[in-house]
Amino acid sequence: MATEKDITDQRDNDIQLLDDKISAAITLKSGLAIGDPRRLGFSTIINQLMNSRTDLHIQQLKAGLNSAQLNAALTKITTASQDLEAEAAKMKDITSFLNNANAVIGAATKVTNIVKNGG
Amino acid sequence: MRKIMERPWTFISIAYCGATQWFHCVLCAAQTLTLNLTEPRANRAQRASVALVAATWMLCGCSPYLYEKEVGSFSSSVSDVWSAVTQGLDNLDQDQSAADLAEVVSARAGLNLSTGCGSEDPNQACRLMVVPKTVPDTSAADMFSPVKPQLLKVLGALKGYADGLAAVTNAQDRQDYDAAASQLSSSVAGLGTALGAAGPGGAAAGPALSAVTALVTWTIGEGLDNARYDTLKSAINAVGSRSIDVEGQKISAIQVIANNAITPELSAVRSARIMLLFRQLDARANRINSDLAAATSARVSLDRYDTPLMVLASLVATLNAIKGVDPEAVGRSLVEAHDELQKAVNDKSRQFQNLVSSLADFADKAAAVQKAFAKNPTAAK
Repeated sequence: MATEKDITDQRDNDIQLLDDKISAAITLKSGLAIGDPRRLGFSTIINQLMNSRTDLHIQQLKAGLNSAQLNAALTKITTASQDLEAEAAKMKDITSFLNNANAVIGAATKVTNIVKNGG
Repeated sequence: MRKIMERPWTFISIAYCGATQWFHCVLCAAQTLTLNLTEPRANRAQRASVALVAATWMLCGCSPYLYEKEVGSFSSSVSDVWSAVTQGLDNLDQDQSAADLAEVVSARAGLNLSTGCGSEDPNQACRLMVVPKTVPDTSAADMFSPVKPQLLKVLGALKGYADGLAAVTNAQDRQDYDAAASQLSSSVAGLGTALGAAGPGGAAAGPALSAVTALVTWTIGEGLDNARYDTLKSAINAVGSRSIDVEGQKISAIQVIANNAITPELSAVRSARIMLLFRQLDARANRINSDLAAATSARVSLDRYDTPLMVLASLVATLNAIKGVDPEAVGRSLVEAHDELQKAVNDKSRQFQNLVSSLADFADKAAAVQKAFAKNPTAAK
C-alpha cells in the first residue's frame, strides 16, 4: 500500500514532468515563424499543461489540509493560542481593576478630607 | 522602594533564570541588601527587611518580556505569510480577468459574455470569452474554492498563535500595571493620611499602608509575569515538540503546519498566478507577433508594437517576482525560527545568535513572499 510520502513524491514527479513539458512546448513554439498558425495551437497546449500543473498543486494542498496530522496540529496550536490569550488578559484585567480601585480610593479620600475639615 | 527592589532583580532575572531559581532568590536578596548599604542608616534597616521578605516571597521566575523583540519579529513574519496567501488569492480574480481580456484581444474575434455578467449571484464572476465559446473555463479562483475555507482556517490559527505569543510578551502591559500599582500606592497613602490624621499617632498610617500596598502589588505583578513566562514556554513547547505521528515518525505541530499547509498553499497560489500571468503574456505576445506578420510595411505603428511591449515588461517583472518565491524555503524558515525560539525559552544561558539569524532569515523570506504575491502588473491596456 502506498504511503503518504509515496503519493506526495509521485505528485512532485508529475509536477516536474509537466514543468518539463511546458518548457519543451515553449521552446517548440519559439522555433516557429511569427506568422505560423501552429503558434496558437501551442498556446492552447501550454495553457492546458499549466492548468494541470496548478490542479496538481491544489490537490496536494487539499490532501495536506484534510490530513489527520494537520487536524492534530491545529488542535495543539489553537489550544496554545487560547492559553496565551487568557494569560495575557489576566494582567490587563488586574490593571483595569487597580485603575478602578484608584478612582474609588481617590473619591473616598476627597470625602474623608471634606468630612474632616467640616465640609 | 519599588524601584530599589526591581532594579537589581530585573538584571539578575536575565542572568540566572531557569534551573538556578533558588540561587537566583539568594542573589536577589543579597544584591538588594548590598545596594541598601549605601542608603542612610535610618532607611536601610526598614528597606532591607522589606526587601528580604519580598525576596523570600519572590516567585523566582523569568521575565517573558525578554523575548518581546524576538517574538514580535516572529509574529510579524507570520503576518506577512498570512497576508501573502490572502492577497495572492485575491489577486487571482484580477489576474483571471486580465488573462481573459488579453486572450480576446489577441484573437481579434467576436466577444461573448458569461452568464455571470448579468447574474446577481456573487459567486458567478463576469467573464469575457472569444466566440464561439459560451461557457468559460474554470477560473483559478474556482479551482481554489473547495480548499479556501480550510486554508484560511489554518492561516488564521497560525496567526492567532503568533498574536498570542506577542500578547504575553508585551512589556507595555507590565508598564501599565506598574503605573496603576504605583498610583494605587499613592492613593492608599493619601487615604491613610487623611484617615490617620484624625486619630492618635496616625501620621504614619499613610506611608505604612503605601508600603504594604506596594509590596502586595509588586508580588502580584511578579506572579503574573511568572505565569506569563510559564504559559509562553508551555505554548511554544506544545507547538514545537515532536508529538504528532506521521507514518511512524514524530514531528512537531509547527512542522506539520509548514509541511501540510504553508508550503503547499504558497506553491499552489504561486502556480496559479504563474499560469494566469503567463496566459496574459502569451496572448499579448501572440498579438504582437500576428501584427508584425500581417504588416505590409517595414514599420508597424506605435500602438501596435511599442505600447503592448511596454505592458509586457510589467507582466514579466511581476511573473519573475512570483517565480522567485521558494515555498519550501519559507516553510523551512518558519520551522527553524520557531525551533530556535523554543530553545531560547527553555535554556536561557544559550547565545541568542542562532535565534536572531533564524528570525532574520524568516523575516526576509516572509517579506519577499508577501511583496511578490501582493504585486500586480500595471493595468492592462
